[in-house]
Amino acid sequence: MEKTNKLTGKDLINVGIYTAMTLAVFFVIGMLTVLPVLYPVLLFIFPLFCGIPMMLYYTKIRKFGMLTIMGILIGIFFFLIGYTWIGLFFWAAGGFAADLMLLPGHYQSFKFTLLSYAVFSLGMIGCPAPMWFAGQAYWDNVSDSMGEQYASSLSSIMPPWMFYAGLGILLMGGVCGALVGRKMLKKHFQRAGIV
Amino acid sequence: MIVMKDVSFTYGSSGSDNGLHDINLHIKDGETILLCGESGCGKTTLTRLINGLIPYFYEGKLTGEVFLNEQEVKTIPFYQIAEKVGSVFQNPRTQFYNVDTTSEIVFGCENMALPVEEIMERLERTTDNLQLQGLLGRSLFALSGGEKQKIACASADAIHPEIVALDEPSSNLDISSIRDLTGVIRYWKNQKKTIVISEHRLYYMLPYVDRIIYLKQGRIHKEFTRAEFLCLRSTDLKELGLRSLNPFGLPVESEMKIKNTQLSLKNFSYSYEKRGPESLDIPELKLPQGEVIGIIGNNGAGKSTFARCFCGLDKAAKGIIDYNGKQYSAKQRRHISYMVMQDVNHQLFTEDVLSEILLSMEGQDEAADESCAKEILEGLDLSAKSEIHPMALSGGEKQRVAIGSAVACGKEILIFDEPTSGLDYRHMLEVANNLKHLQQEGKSLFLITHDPELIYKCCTYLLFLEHGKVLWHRPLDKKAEQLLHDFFEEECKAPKNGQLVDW
Amino acid sequence: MQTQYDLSMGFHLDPRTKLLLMAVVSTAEFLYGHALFMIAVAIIPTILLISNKQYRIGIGFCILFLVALTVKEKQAFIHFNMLLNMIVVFLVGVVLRLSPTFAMGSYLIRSTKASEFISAMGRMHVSRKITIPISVLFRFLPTMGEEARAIKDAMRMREIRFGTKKFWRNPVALIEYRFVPLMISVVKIGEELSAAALSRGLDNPVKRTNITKIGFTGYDMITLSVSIALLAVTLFAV
Repeated sequence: MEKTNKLTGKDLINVGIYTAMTLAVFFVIGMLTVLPVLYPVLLFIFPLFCGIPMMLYYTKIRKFGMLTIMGILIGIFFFLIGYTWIGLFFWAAGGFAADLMLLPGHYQSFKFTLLSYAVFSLGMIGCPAPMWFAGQAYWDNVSDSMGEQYASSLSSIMPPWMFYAGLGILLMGGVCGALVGRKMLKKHFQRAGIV
Repeated sequence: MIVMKDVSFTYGSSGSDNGLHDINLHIKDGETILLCGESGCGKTTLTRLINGLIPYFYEGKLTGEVFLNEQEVKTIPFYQIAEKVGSVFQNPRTQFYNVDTTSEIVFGCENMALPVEEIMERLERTTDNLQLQGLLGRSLFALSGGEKQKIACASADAIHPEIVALDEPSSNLDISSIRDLTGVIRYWKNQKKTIVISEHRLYYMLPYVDRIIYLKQGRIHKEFTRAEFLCLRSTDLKELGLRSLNPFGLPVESEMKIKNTQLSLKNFSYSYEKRGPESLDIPELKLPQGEVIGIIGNNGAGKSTFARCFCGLDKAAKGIIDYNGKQYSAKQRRHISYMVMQDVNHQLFTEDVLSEILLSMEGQDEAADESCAKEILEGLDLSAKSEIHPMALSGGEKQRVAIGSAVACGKEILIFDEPTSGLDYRHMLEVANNLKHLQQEGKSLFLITHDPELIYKCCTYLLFLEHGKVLWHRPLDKKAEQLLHDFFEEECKAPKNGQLVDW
Repeated sequence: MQTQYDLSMGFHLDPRTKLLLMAVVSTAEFLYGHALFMIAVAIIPTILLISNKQYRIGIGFCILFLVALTVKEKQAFIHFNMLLNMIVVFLVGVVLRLSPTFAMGSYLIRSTKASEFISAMGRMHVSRKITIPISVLFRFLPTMGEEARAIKDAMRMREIRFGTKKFWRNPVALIEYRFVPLMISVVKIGEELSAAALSRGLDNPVKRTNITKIGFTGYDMITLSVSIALLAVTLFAV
């Protein structure tokens, strides 16, 4: 059996399975997204818990493209539920960047896996992002009709730094998620023989 | 035709335990071959050599040559082998790729890029020949195990393969589903296909096989023609570790202890939908304590529902159980009963066997718990495995760990749901002995099973359910034996719908 | 995705039309427009939802949208304190700008069968690299639900639950017990699934055929043209 760099049927099935797992985590945690107040917490928890299946997934990734496709798929899924082009863009970009991050490590080093997953987690901003952009477009509208002063005091609730803070929280969650996932790998998955 | 010359294979990751050594085999066109042997003997591995999963899917070291119609398997791309060899696997739940039945049946054809009209024709033919009317266009998740397996066979059939390789297809099926499976195999034989099937349950295949190959530790140990095999006595079979050829007429081995204490169920009922029909309706039932009660019935009779309601898994279950003078509602029943589920993988949580047993315990006194747990492990012959991750164990060992955690919880009423699915003779015997042992310790056991050998070995009382109601219940005496026999007869003989193709 | 075989093909849209509509609504909802335009954007999912018998969501969405729209129009007349004002403005913005696509999404998912969706992707020449993982995704989500439920039952049986003595000694373990067996189970199922699919030729490089019938009908034409006309008129002409 020759080793190719093309993605085989087996690889693609794996992409599907782990995408399903990540989305399942989303559904479980997603119940809590009803309250926007909880967003900072969610932005930390989501990459944290996803770290467990993702670290397992990383043991199966030996070729370029598996993370990009996952990002695109999750992006499409969120697009179909209603998170618009913004959601699709960020998830796909996150996946692509994560794939890139793995290259220098030749799929052997944990350091690059961690880096890759942290970057992938940034892509998760695709979910709350439409909220910010929606808000932005609306306030442009408001400032036209209501005057600058009113609009500027509004924009203080949704300042752009929130976007960057969100990215920061995701990054932290991603790093922790990678570490937790790795612990699970050693404790369970490797010993159970599924790695 | 299939030819194997000096074939040896060892799986990549594990050691040289499982695998095949020095296999030389010649299978003619149209032959039906049965591969049998104890667990781990290599029969599954051999089927994988035929459908190409080895070397294309399972990695390892392969030496020797495997020829399909004079072409070496190594030189044919996997997807081309798929056009010649149809496969049916053990687990109905995990082998389907699509979400609805029709797509699943035509899946192989679509992959071959056959034109749509041709596919529709094949779909019609397969539907007719395998009696699939009523199963088309439905969600696979809504079908029973037997129905799923039928679709799996249809999917293999639609490819019109010359060879069909089946890996323990009856493992998870009940008796009437096995009857349907037999019908399919009869049809394939009629079509003069070459059939290679690996199995534990031999009785249903015997009328149709040409040769039986017995494997032991990866080697072909013995070969029989059908006539020769039928001459084997039951002691020979047991020595080979094989299941009985006539599991329905075995002698009853266990006797009921005449205890006077009883537990009674009152107003037991349950509906799946809030105001829907009742799936379980038992106004009153008195059962003896301290016995091994076999729960028997057709698919959908309500056996699993009964078990779940009994142990209080479904909070909506109505009714009371009167046990040792106290009354227990659904919520409370969870404290006195414990169920070992059908799929043992759902019940193993920790990272090593010892922790798994400890998990069932209260956790008040660590030292006492640990020594108790170690005792339990010894009793189940698992001491050597106490550091191993439960999920890394074999099927039979996992089953024992599950029994161990049942024992460790200290509850008096234990329910077992299909504990011997897919187990060979030796492991089935182990389970039976464990169950008898538990009974001797005074526990009341309920056993949902369609494994006749297990029933005859350890059940002392029978409970027969139909459409959610109790049809009869009595100790396993002569009359019960007769009723049981009638039930098996009915399941085995009468074809379900229409006439099965005769050859 | 819906998996029931629907024999009554009344109003039925090709999956590709639905995707196109979703793309249209996604883009439109961010465009600056006046009230009539926004109503037009919201009408599209509302009518589709009703056509699919999703009455509760359809009407609920419609009402929510109209309320938000009224608030926006009358905002000059409403004076709350600063904080409440901001929250209201934010919520109104979210509803007006995002809920149409959520409503659309609900319709899309409930009205499309998995096999139709995959067939549509094939017709659109979407690469196998996307269609295979998507098929697997559809196939696995219900399975994970089944497995998760079985594991939950097993946990209750062993009394591993929120609030028991065992729990307080090691609360993190609860999450471990919930996730780990599920993952191991899914991976094993995945392996068996792969073997079964590949042994039926999944890896065949030939472009596969698909018997699921999809195709554009009059319904698609009408729906698309009416929607686009509605949006165009309200955006430019009024």
